[in-house]
Amino acid sequence: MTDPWQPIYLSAKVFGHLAQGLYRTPAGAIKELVSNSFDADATLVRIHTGFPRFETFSCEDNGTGMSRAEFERLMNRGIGSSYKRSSTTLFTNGYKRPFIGRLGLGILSLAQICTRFELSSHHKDTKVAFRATIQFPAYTRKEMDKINKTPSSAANDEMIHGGQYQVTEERFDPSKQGVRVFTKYLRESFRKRMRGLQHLANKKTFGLSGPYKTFVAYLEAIYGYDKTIQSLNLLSDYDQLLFGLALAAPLPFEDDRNVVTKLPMIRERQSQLRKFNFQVHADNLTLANPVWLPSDRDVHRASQCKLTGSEKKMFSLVDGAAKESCSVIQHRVSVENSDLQFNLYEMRYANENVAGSPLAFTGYLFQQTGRLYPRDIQGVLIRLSNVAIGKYDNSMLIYPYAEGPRYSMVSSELFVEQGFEDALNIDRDSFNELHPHYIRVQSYVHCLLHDLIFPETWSEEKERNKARRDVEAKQREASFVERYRKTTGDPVRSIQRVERQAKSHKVSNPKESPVDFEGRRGEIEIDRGHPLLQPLFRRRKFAPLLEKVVVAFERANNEPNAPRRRELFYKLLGEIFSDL
Amino acid sequence: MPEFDKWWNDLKKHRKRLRHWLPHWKALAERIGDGHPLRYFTLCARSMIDVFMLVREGILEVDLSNNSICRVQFCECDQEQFDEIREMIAREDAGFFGRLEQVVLFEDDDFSGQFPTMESISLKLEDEGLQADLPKLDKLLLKQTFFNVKASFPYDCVNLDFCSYYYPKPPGMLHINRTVERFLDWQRRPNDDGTSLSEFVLAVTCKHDSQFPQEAETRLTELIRSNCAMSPEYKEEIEKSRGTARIEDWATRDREDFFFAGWPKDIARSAKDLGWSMEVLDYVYYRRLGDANNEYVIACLVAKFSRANPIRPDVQTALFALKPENRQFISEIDRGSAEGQQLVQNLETIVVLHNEQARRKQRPELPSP
Repeated sequence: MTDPWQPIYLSAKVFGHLAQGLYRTPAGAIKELVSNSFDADATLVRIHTGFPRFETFSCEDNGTGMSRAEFERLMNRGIGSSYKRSSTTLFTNGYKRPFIGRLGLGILSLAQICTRFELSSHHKDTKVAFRATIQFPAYTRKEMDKINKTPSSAANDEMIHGGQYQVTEERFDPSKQGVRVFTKYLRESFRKRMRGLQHLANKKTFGLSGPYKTFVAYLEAIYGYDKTIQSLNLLSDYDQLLFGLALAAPLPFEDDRNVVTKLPMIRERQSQLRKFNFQVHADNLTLANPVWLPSDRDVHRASQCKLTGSEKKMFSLVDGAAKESCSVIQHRVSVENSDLQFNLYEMRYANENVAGSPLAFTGYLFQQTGRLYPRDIQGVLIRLSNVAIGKYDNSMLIYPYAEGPRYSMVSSELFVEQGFEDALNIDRDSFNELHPHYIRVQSYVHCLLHDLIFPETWSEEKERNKARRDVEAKQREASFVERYRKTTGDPVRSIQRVERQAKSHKVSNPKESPVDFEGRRGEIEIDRGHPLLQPLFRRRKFAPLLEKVVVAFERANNEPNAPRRRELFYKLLGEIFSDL
Repeated sequence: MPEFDKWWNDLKKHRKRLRHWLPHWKALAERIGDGHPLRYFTLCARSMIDVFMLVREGILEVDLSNNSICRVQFCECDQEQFDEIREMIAREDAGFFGRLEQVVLFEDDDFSGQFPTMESISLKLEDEGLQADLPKLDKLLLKQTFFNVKASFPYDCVNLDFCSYYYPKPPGMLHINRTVERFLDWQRRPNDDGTSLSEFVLAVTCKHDSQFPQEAETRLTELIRSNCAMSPEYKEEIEKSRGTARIEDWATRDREDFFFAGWPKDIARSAKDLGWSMEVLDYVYYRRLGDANNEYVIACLVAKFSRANPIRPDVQTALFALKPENRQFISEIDRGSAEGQQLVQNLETIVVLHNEQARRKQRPELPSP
């Protein structure tokens, strides 16, 4: 009996397409090389982008290297099935790092930036070294698709080449242990983007794009202490590449640049990342996690911030029929010599059975009172095996409600500890949004934001804004009183509001002035219940201004002499408007 | 232990650096003045002793904010050394990748000639079809490097330590000579502020041995013959000092002397044609034993080029090179001798600087000299 199930065959051409470019950005492609180095227990990766001329590109690590056999296996249909990780080996031998690579596609990532490259490897275990030249297919996708239209299409398709390579053996040199990739055959589109927009950047934006003396100097420019840079999109591709690489790599934060390092959970992660002993140098800059929080114009350093209190808060996670009660720890962050208050939420989630498999993650969510800049650190970033997947998702994983500018005040990172791998797309830069683990994380974030964080933000914001307005109004009034005193010579100390009508239950006389200049202790009293003023004060927004105008008018009106009356009124009016 | 260039700690070589290069660079730096830091082009090897010697002497400035060495450029065709040197200089724009002669002597063919500017090359390189045609692709990439190297000129000090024959075996016998000539040409490019370079110092190092190509000797013969035709003084000097009027006899009898007398004229002639007045500042040589026990000579010519008017006749350089007393021989230096100890000490201080930077950059350190 024949099996009714027929196998589905994939076209070998898929790999041809992959070889033409799998990654969205150069940083996404180069990130794969860094991940390979991480998996090879390298302690240092050196990347040279070829800045500023972009004539050559190189990436070199001091890891265990790749054996010739492994390389040849990859070249012969091995791409897409990495040996690195199996069910028994989840961690590297040396530094016990969790493996990042899964499919063995890292080497293909270079197709994004070059058409041909040289790879040399000095393999620690086999003590064998080799040098290989790899050339990606010269034909375009369009030409590749034409292959199907030839008569023997099926056979041709099977035989499609993902490029070609040649290998020569070299003398093993332990000082060169690791893998080195070098090319001068950079795609012109890469060069153009790196070089060309530099020009645009200089013209239209902030004149960044290196050279930078240190990575901190680069980030100081990005976080714009002199000039706020709203988005990395306004900068050159080179600037974006540096940021993207640093963000993606499994690197610790710089302690004093990120307030989240005050959380025990993050400190633990920092120490774990440091134990991995992994450094990435890009164009002579030592990279670190580039996220600096707070990213406030007046608060630059974590040492300016203090965690002042913490509280466990509960919220309900609803994911379709699944309902769970979850908790976060809310930490209040106060800033020295300032009344600024930020919030830092510590998140932990673990569930043994999310659509049949376990899912666990930790993370933080930082909430500032003003917008976070650059925009590229607003939203949610998911890290898998310490590597960032894509960029910060500004949509908060497609949050469905309108929350105004509150979106832009939140920066969050989620560190997946278990599960989620299958939700990752092949480019390792995005997710399958229909995967149950993705949906669960999405629901978690949405419920947390909608039920806990944003409602609190609304009320806090309201109170804060009201308090701020009151303070400002008081300051403005004090300033006006001072100017009034100087202009009129009256010993006035403050302005008081009364509603005679309400207080005395008597109707104010519309023929009398609504302002009493002979109040006690140098107070000017405005009767806001006066029939002439009542309609004016209906719009609260303008009340403080109107009060002053009324005072000015009435005071001037008290002058017997018409020219003096006019002069005083205009002088007081001038004082009022000079304060606005 | 990674391999550094074999001769980095050779005391004769270091004497050349210290006594025959450095004083001229120092003097030039002083003449240029504080406001105009010296621009240096080198073919430094991985050990970068010349670069760190200039750093030590304060001639090359170091930006302490990132320990980068300012205003030095190099050219290197080994990709690993290229990256390492660039990191040690700590400036990404410090190097040009490629073989210097190949880059500098780039000549258009029918294909590359269609793309006269960087922009037109860039447009052509976008053509994916070109990726399959490696020779054409290489040609355009080389042309880009050529434009970039050219644009980096002029320099105040140029140190071309070729360590090979000045006239290699044909074809390409004149490659190095033409490279030097092109350098002299590009040195006429304006400074960043639009002014012209008034003077610079060039050091050229090359070797000579019994395998020196016959064709090169023929060229030297022609050069010397033309000197004789141009200058009776030159001719007399040959007859007096070499005891013959027959140049061929001299060339056969003392090939090394013949070489020493001949090749500087080639540079002087190019200089004159390009409007530079050449004055030889130092002419030194020393002997070495190669890996196959083969003896050879390293010769180094240090010359100042200026916009002096009138331009010194090239035959004066030829006459200078002709007189053996103008050539300084560096004999073997015993490490225990006073001079040997002094040179080692100096080298040690340079190695300290090199190794400090190497540690910062996690690159191999030089052993004690």
